[in-house]
Amino acid sequence: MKKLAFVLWLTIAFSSISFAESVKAYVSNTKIGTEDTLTFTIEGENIDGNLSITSPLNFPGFSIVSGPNRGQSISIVNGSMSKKETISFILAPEKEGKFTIPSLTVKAGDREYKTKPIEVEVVKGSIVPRQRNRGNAYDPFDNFFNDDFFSPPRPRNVRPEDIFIRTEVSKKRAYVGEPILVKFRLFTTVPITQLALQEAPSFQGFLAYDVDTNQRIRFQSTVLAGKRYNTAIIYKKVLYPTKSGELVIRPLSFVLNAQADFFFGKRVIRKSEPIRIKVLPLPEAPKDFSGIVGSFDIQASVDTKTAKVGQSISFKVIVSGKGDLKALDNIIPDTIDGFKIFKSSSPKITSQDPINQSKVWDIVLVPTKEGELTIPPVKLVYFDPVLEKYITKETTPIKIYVKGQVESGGAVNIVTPSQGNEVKVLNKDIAFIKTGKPDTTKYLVESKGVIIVSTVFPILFLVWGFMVRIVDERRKNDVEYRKQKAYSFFKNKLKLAKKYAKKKKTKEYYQTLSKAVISYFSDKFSKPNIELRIDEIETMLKEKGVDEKLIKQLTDFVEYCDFESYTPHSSGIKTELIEEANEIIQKVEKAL
Amino acid sequence: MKRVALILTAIFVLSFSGFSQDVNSLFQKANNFYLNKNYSKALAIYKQIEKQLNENNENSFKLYYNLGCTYYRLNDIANARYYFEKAKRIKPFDKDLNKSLNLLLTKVKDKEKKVKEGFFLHIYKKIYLSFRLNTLTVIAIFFFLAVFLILGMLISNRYDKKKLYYGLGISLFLFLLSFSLFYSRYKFTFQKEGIVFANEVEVFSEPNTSSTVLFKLHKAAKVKIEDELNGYVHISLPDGLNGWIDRQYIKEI
Repeated sequence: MKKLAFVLWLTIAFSSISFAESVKAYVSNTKIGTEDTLTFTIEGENIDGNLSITSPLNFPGFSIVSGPNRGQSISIVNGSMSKKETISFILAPEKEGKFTIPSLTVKAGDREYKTKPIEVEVVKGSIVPRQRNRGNAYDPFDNFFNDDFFSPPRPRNVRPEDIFIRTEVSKKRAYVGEPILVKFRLFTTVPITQLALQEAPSFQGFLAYDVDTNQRIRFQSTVLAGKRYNTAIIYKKVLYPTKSGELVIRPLSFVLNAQADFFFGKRVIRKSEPIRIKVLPLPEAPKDFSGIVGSFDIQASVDTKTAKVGQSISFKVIVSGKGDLKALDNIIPDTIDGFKIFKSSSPKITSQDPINQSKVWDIVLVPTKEGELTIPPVKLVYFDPVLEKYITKETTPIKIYVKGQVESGGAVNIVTPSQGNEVKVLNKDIAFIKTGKPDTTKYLVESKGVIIVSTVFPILFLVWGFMVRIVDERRKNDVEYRKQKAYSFFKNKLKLAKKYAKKKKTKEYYQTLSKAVISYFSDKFSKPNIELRIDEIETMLKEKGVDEKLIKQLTDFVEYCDFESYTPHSSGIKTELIEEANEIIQKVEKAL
Repeated sequence: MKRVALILTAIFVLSFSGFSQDVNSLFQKANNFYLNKNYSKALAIYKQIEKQLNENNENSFKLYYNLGCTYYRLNDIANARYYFEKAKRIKPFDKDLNKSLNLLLTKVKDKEKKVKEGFFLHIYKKIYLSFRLNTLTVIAIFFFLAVFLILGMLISNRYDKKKLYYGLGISLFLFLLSFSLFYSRYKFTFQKEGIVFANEVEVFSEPNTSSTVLFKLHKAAKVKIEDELNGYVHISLPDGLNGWIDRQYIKEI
């Protein structure tokens, strides 16, 4: 119940804060050392339009190190949304004493706001890293939760040992210009939902490059001092020291959203520890030192070794290795004896990885004279920090045999030689006449034949159809015709039976056989098919004096077929029955 | 069925009149003249063949093409175009012909505007133009007869009706398809077009010389003939321009 009351109270309090439209100014610390910096932030919450400062930027006792930096954040907590817009400055104190950051006029949309003046005390030395980050002025909840008044029902707090950040450097001793990889590793025991840098990092005394920025943060599990942590690299940079001496990688502040309780996202700020790096000056440089530090390789290649005068040759120089190749200037000589040089606009750097990359110069060379020409070696002098000395690398000289002339009248013809030149059209003319026999034809459409064919034949077909139909109809009722054709009709029916036998239709097969026999007799005796039964046929055949044996054979056959057709699972299809039927009917035909 | 096919082929074979030896040797002779660059003599013989063919109501792609080439060599672009266009109606996709015709068109003063046609129309056109008119005629007639044969068989009531209905449907579909192709090809072959033979002709808004001059056409321009009245023809161009021209300046293809 108490907890519930607290939640309710919190929700109301929070929403009233988050919906308030306000502009305020605050500093990261009110007491700093002369060696520290101060972040001064103007924050507009839920305002319309953009923040802009209308009064002059003047901070007595401070100099602006960076800023104005703009930032925006939208956060949703317990369903209420708040939008924050900030303008921040990083200020460095000029001397000790008490200073006041004056009131500034800020415009947001149509409204103007005035910030409160802030007093800052500056003491000698550096005190900020030792200070706890607890109690940031702009995090209303930090103070709120620390208040003892609410201690019984408050959610689990995030202790410093729950989340911390460590800085890892690849080396602590380096030469000027030697790459140093800096990783910021997060250790946490609570889930992290959001992660951001509090302010843009500045690495004083270094050139900083991003490393695989698109990579996702992947957590791993480790045990540290008996506690299980999830750990991940959250930020990586490659730094190149620009001056010698002892340089400090300044602490970075990360803003984290820790899921400390079931539904409380808690904002936590963690700073990394500062790292001191001893930067050694380079020993006295040789005359043609290219200015890069690391370990490198240089290669040169051409696309063809034999060429004509005026033909273009693609000459490629690749420098690859570990180090700041961006700092590498042109190493290609301006003139090569016997060649005209056409340099491409700028060398290309492959790969986004700043540690391991290569720089490519693509150059077109055009020989100006015949004979054996040599492309001289390209030299690269760099400092190797491992060997601690200057190293010179050269490409092998390339010999090119130039013979003959490109036929385009001296003009430089940039065509890839392996593909050959395009066929040139000198003149145009009509094609030759067609020979052989003349292909004389008539248009069929114009001939009378087509009209005759396309009128007469359709009529013929239709007339033929009607005729056949009429004749067939007549024949059906023609007794004599039926008598004559009885055997051939019977034959047709046997053919049909054969078809059924092939298709394994047992029932249809036997039905057709018996039907064939009976309809033969119905044709012969001029009786309708349906009325005729096997016993009638028997008596009629007896009257005609047909052999008794034959009649018996016939009746047995028809009865067998009928029986088979009504008992479908019986012994399959006996195709020899067709022959038997044919034999019987042939004998009957003779006897009649 | 076999008998029907036999009769059909017999009729078609009969309708193709055999090559007369005379025409063959004349053609050969003219080609030789052309080869020896004696173009005027070649032309005379080609013309003679053309006359003979016209009497028999025959045509020949080779002859028209060669006539076009000969006129081209004689620098008569109007006649050259006239014969090339005539040949094009028989074989629209002949490579030599199109090459020569395109070259000829560079010499014609009036540039022809090409009307863009849709994708399907283009495909359809390609199909029907790649067949000869006679081929399409035979195919269309074949399916036409097939439809009636199947109808006759259906009426006769002797054959398996199911198969006949399928056959009827298929042959009806094929007939309609081939007939539409045939009809399009027919329209293409017998479209009314003309070539301008005068150096420059005025195109009037009405069939008389007193009306407004709309535009001018030059030698060897191709026009579509829409209508004819009082010795004037109503012509139109592919892009829609149209008007009346004196009949005498135009030769119909």
